[in-house]
Amino acid sequence: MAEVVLDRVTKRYPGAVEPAVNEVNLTINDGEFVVLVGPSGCGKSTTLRMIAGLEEITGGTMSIGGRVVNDVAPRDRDIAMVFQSYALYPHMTVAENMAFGLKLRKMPKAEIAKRVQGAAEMLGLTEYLARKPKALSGGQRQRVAMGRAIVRQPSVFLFDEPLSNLDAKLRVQMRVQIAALHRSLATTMVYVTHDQVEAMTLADRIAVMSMGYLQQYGTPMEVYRHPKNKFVAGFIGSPAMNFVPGKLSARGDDLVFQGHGLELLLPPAHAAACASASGCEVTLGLRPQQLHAVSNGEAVVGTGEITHTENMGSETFAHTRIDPDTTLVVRLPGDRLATVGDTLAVGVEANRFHVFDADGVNLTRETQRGSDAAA
Amino acid sequence: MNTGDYEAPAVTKPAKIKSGKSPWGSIATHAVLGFVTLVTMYPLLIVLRIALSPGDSGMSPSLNPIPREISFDNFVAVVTNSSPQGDWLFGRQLLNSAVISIATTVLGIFLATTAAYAFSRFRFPGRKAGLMAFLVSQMFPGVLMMVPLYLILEALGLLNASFGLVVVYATIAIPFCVWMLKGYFDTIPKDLEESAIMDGASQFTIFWRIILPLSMPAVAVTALFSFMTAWNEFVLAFTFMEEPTAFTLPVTVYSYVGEQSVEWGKFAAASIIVSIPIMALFFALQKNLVGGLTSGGVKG
Amino acid sequence: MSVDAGPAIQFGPRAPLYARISDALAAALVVGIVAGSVLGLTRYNDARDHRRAVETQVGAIADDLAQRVASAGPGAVEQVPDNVAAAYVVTSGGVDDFGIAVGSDVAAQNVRDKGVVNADAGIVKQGLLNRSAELQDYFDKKQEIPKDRRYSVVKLSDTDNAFSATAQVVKDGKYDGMVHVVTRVPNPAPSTPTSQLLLMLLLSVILGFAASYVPGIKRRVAHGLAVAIPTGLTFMAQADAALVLWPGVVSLVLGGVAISGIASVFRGVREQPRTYVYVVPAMIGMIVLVFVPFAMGVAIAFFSKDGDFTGLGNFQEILNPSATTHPNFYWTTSVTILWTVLNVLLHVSLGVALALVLNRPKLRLKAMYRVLLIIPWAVPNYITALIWKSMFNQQYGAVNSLLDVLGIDQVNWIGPGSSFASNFIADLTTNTWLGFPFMMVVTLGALQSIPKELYEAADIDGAGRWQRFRTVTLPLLKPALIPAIILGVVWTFNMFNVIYLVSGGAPENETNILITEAYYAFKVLNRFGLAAAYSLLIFVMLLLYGWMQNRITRATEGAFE
Repeated sequence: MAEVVLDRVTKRYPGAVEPAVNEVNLTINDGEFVVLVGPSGCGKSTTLRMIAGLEEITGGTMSIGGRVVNDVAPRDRDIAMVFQSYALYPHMTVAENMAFGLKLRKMPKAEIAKRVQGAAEMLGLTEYLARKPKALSGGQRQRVAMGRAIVRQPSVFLFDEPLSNLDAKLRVQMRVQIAALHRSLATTMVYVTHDQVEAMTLADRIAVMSMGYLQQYGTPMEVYRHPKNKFVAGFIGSPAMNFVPGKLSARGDDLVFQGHGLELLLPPAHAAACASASGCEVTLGLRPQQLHAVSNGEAVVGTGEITHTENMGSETFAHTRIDPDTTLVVRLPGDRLATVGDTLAVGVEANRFHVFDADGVNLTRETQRGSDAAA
Repeated sequence: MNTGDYEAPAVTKPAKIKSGKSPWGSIATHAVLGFVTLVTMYPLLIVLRIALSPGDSGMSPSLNPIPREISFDNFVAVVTNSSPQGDWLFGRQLLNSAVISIATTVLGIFLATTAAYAFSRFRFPGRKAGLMAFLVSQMFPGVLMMVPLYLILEALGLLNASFGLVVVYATIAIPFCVWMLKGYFDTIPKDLEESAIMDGASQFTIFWRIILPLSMPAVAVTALFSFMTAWNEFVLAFTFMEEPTAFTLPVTVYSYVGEQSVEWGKFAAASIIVSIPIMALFFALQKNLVGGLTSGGVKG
Repeated sequence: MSVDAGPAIQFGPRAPLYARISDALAAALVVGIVAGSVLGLTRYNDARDHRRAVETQVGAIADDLAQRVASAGPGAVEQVPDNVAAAYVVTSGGVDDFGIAVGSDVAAQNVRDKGVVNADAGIVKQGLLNRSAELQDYFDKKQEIPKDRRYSVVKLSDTDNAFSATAQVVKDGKYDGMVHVVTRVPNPAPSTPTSQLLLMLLLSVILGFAASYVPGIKRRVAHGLAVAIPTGLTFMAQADAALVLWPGVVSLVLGGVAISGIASVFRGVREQPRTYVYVVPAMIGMIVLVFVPFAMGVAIAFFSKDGDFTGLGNFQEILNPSATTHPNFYWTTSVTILWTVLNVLLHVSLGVALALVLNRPKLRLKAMYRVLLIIPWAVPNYITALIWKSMFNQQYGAVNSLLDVLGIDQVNWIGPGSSFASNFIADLTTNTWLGFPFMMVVTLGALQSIPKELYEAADIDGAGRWQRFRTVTLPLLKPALIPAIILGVVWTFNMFNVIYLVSGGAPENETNILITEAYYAFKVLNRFGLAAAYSLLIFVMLLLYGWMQNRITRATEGAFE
């Protein structure tokens, strides 16, 4: 059991101009499940590998359980890792695979057998213990990889995209199993993925990374509802947030967003937060879930033709062109049939949108938090 | 051998070429293969005939590979070959050959696998130059090396010592084996090693318990090549050893048809005796030969 | 030779101490190699000159004594020069009915220095009697006594050697025994003492250390000088100016080119010592038993038969042959290239064709064919060569027997008076037989790793059998075949056994390839320098070939990643 603290951790590869990981500060509490998420090349895997000790840290300090581990070998960090490729030893049986790390630690044979048996039962692998990895299915191999980590009883588990080699159905099953594992072990877990659904469903806290920087660190709902910047807003949530560039201008006492066929009067709280950006270029962020078809009397922010629909059964996403170069994805209830070619008048859920300044910073983050608290 | 079966992309099913649909295609194939095999085997059958005929009578113009009269005299003569002093030369030389070849194999595997592992997995100053040097050393003509090698062995006190031959043979086999092994090691995913690191394995444990067991086909080929180098060599053995009791078998085999005498019957019998161990190894390892030799060249 | 750059290190005034030490050690290493091998060669030559001189001297004493014994009897042994440590007279009693020497006895001896002879008189006597019988044999056959039976050297101590010589006593045209003279001769002082080399190694360490203070490209010049000065100074005392000049020039170049690289390796050893643990055993073996001998061989190429430095003399002799030399270097080179090209072509085409046939999925007896076809590879190649030599025998050989059956006239393949073409064909046949299995196995391995989806894709694209081979199989075989072909060329170019044992160069050395020609210079002419020069030319040709092939095909690309 241990907390993991990254203090301005930096990784610079020799010869590279930009650091792969740039001064990342991250505190992972004891027993917490933290997911590092971001597009490929964002530095999330490198960060995980630095925690594991597979990559050298070129700047800052990393501590696990209160001990600085910058120069501690992986085997002395009391951690276990599950690899994307599972990395099972092909020449060893399932049982040998799981026991390998324990044998290297000179653990008594009886204890090894007990732990392997226990892990196998937990993961439903008992009948495969004598098999070689080659004779297992993808999902079984994945479980062996987890078993290999479990038997070690480490104080920190690391997962490097453990589910990306599985098909969609198995992925959901394994997600549930990992969540259950975390509940029963209550150990610190750090999990890397590029899949934001995994991030949202598994994490206690999510760390969103991009270009080597930590963009935001918070609970899934925090990250979803109060994204710090345009990158986080666009990365978290499915389908992705609609972004409309435009300009804020004062109209009497109010602030109005105008651009690309869309006009929106900012509510007072939003207007106050964005006062400094009045007259500036900004980007409006609208989640599809917060857009809807206007029923009588409501304010219309934009009108356009439906160019494409994605019917999910329970809901439908209508791609609505409100301007020659702007298309909004609008969530419609599943029972409402939308047809390509129809004209749709789009409305916005009050207070539920974001305004990003020219640098991508979310100006309305605190405003939203206030309105959340009020609601 | 149940190793080397990790999920590398290189391990795929043999490519399927549609064979001719008519039975004639198959018959033609077998006719061609049968003919080539016959031509390949024929010289060996003749050797067998010469060996099994009494004296040198097997050296006859007949095309028939079956000896007219079977006699094991030549084999007996070869096996009982003794020196004027009464030393059983064949036995001594067989023992020399076996000891030297096995020692060469062990030393060769040790030197080649460790070096190939470093070349495959580590990046260090001198790596590229070292690999290049190994490759280029294959181009050194043997004649150039003889005199210096003699002087060096003399200086090291290894002249007339079996160990001297072992060391020389092992180094002769190294370059080829290192390149082959390196190619094989390169195909082993790095994940496996990192996984072992997380499991607490030291660098040497990874090499010994992960990389080597997974590379058995290539290691087997390395063993075969080292063994063959030592078992077949006679020029250096003849040059560096003084006493006939210290020679290896090939020196004697060569002497049967050397400058002084031409005893085809004994030569044939001795050739068969000398070739048998190597052939047995080839048969045992031929599957590995196909996989071990080329996996380095063909990736993915 | 390029060495992977280690972590960038600032050179000049601010270089870290261990980088300076690396430079110093690298300089010492180069001096040790160059000066050490030249020193070794001069020592070797000095020792040989010394030995020849002493042998001539002792031989003269023995001859003189033998003549006096012939005229005055065994008593003459009492009057020998002062430097003789021991002298023996052995008489012969003639030969018995079977021609075996009998009645031989040590008739007189004069041992002044007991330290030079074996303490056991019985052993000494037996040795003398044996030797006498041997000398009588040479006498009767009218042969000259071989050098190693006439003279011998025994090391007495670190400073002294016992040189001995024997001579036949001839009386009235008949063998009448022999004399044996032993002298004690102290070793001469080496013209260049070892301490001189050690001193210069120390100097190179200092200069190498100093060179690390020089930044930029000038550092290379400094490196060259740090090596050239000590190497040159090592041989200042030698009379021969070439011994200062040539090693000096060589080390100037070598130092400038190689020291940065060698030093970076030394730095690497300090920075990541664990890595080098894995390479060092193999590297030491290779350096001591492959690279150092090679360097010594290169040095030998610049020396004449008598051990004198001749510069490019040997190369001149090879490259600028007299009009009467046949076959000359250019003929032999042409034959070698023809030999290599034809062989590799045959190996590859046969190997690939057989592999393609053996790779058919539904082929029966596949395993058997494969095993039988690999056999030639398993037979030691000197045995293969000798087997085929017997096959091409004019009288008994199977090849002619087959021609007979086919109603074709017999051919004198490799016997006396045979033609160039027939000898060459015999060599070629032999080498083809032993070489195709390697290419077959390489191809088989490569074929197995071609994913069958590619063939399916080609089928869908409507490719015919030939197109499929050309567009799918061949390109995917290339990465495996190109390195195999390079190896094949190198091996065939130097395939000594087949040429030497099958045709033996007949007729008149015309089918010799360069390596057999080098061996001829080595073994028959006893000219190591010439043989080394030949070998060096072979090496340069192969290096050029490998370099070109690599540039064209990028065969080793990726291997260094």
